[in-house]
Amino acid sequence: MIKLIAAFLLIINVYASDDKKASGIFNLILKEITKKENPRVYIHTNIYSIEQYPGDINIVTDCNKADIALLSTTKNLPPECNKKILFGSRYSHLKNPNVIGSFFWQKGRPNILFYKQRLKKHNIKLNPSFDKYIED
Amino acid sequence: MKILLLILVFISFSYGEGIDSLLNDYAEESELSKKTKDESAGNLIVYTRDDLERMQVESLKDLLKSLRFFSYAENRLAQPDILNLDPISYYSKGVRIYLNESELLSPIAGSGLILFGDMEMDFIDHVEVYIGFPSFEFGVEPATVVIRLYSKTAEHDEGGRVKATVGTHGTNKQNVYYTNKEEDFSYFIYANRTDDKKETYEHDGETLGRDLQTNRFYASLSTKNHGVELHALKAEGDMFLTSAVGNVPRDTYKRTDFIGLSTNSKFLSDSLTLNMSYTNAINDFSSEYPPGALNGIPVLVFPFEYHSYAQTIKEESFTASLKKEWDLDSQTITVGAKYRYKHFDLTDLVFDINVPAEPQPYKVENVYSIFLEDLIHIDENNLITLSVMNQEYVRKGDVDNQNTTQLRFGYIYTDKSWVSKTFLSSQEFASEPYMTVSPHYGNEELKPEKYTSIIQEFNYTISNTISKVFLAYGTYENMPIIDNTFKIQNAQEDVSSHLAAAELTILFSEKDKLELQANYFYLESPYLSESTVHYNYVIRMLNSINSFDIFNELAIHTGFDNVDDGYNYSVGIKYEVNKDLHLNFKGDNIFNSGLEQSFINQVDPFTGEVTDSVIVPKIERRFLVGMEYLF
Repeated sequence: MIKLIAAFLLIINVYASDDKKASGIFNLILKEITKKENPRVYIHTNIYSIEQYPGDINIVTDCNKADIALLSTTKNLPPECNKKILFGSRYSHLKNPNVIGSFFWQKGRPNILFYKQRLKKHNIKLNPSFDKYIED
Repeated sequence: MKILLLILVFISFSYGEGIDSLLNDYAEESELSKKTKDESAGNLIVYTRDDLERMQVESLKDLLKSLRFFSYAENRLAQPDILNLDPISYYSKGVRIYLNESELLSPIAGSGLILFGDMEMDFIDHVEVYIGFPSFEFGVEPATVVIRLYSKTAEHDEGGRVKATVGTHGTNKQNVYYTNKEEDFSYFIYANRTDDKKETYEHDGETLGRDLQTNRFYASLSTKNHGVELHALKAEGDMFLTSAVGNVPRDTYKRTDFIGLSTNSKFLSDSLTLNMSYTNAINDFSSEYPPGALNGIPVLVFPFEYHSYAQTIKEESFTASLKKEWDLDSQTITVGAKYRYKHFDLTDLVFDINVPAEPQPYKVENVYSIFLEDLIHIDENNLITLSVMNQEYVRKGDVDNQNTTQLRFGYIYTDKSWVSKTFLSSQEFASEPYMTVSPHYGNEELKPEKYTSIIQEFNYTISNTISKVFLAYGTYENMPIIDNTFKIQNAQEDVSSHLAAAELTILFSEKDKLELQANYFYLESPYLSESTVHYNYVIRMLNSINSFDIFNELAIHTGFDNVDDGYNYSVGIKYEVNKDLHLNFKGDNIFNSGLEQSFINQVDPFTGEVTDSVIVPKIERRFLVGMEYLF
């Protein structure tokens, strides 16, 4: 019983962490973009929250095998990622026209932003709950 | 067992919640204030990033004006001094102010509030205020109030921002920051220029001003375990009434050039911290008085007639602080050793008449401080804190050293709805250099002051309502006062004070909240005259409607000496045009009925009665419009 309680507390504790919550949001977004329950994600170069708590995400090390590439930087992106859907983790990543959207911090608050034309280019239609995060 | 664990894992990894609630939950959980605040360190008030943004906090003054028990105040030189007791030039020496891990220090005044109490807040993420003799972990020397300012970080403010504001009397402010995170480090760079223009006041045919121009630069560079910060300030403006009681100046000027450099490092899994900081400030003051103004008027501060003076005060400090923490099974023990070097020179003082220079009793003070703090976790609901700190003030010259000791006991009870904090403390405060070295009002014989206090706080949280009750009682030995010759002395009699506050916060929704506060402050007079009793009430509402953030605040102050009751109503509206562009409007004290402050101008030399005062608003009426652009 003590082990059970300890295990429960451990999970609650993990759940409460920022990184876990960030990973939860990445999970929701990436599943929505790819329409897959276990999307294959290539991470360039590192995103601690999702590497630590991947959730439903299947992290792959070869961009060719990925459904989507998640970026911590747009610099030195492997050429094989150029044809993939790119999703950013900073506002500045949206300067790259190939990045369809980003989950980032700005003015002390987390934000999500997609550009309509870029979604359209990849034939991605998001759930209406994402409408407020889509700009022209 | 495994099945149950799998179910729990599944629950914790299920993403069935909507994106909006996940995002809001994440924003709330990631508030930087949650990472820095320390409930066991004292009686805490937190202004989160969201509060600062929606309240449109332009400067620290905007928070201090409605802080529990206090109202923002300045001294005769238009310097921030929230505990001002005119005509003593500075009284807030126990109010310590920190920027991240380093203290913003004025070695001569004891506290940096005198220089930074009205600092613009555009580079600050959140603010913590610990009221009532907080933890000894914070500083080298003891404090009555600790204000901790935390700068913005690359993690939560990636990119840049430019901001411009204009307002009443031609007030204007412009600033820019840029922050970024690289693979192994992050940096933040900020520059600001503020031209704060205020109303002028006529008295005895002269015009008194309180304008201030500020230029600030701040930069930080951080790695996982180390950080370095550079902070530079140039401020110049009017000196209002000056410290020459009995004389209304014709022209005044003050200027401060400050530079601060600090480092912070963590070792041994963050259990060992080493913080170091260096500050250097040059303060110029000058004033001119009209010809003949001194004829027939008692000159109360200086025993000679003069019509102008100029002084340069140089200050320098170095602080090193080493702290080690041991996390044991049921207790956390922290031991710290700190050293502070202070240098101050007031001898560059020139009058328009030949006055022989008086030597300064001492120019250097070394402070050696050690502390021990033990947090004992009795069980998951009960925590005891035991703290002891001691300082040795070693002063060069013939001035006696001072040794001061602080003791603190705390008991904290926490459950799902209740928090109860009880703190008992006995604390000695050394006299600060400005009280001892001045040849005109200083006193080398001052004894340390001693506070004994008991503080009780109850917090009750249920549903969307947070209630707080705060009660405090204290006695004060050797309180510094001004005697008949305008020299600082220790009061002969002990004085007592008691304080009480009740606060209620109602969260109507995630972005709509109402705060109601009432507090009471009683202090016996050290002059054996009438006691000080005043009441403060604050009603604050924060609302968000679509792209608008709306802020309303009414602060009522009653019972203050020699002034009418104050009703300070402020309002702010912020409009998010898009993610990159925000417009804002703010009005402070918009009915011009806020609390005023009375400064002594003339005193009857025979009866000691104040026969003439200069009365000005603590917070002036002003309107501001501004824009922010993010890039």
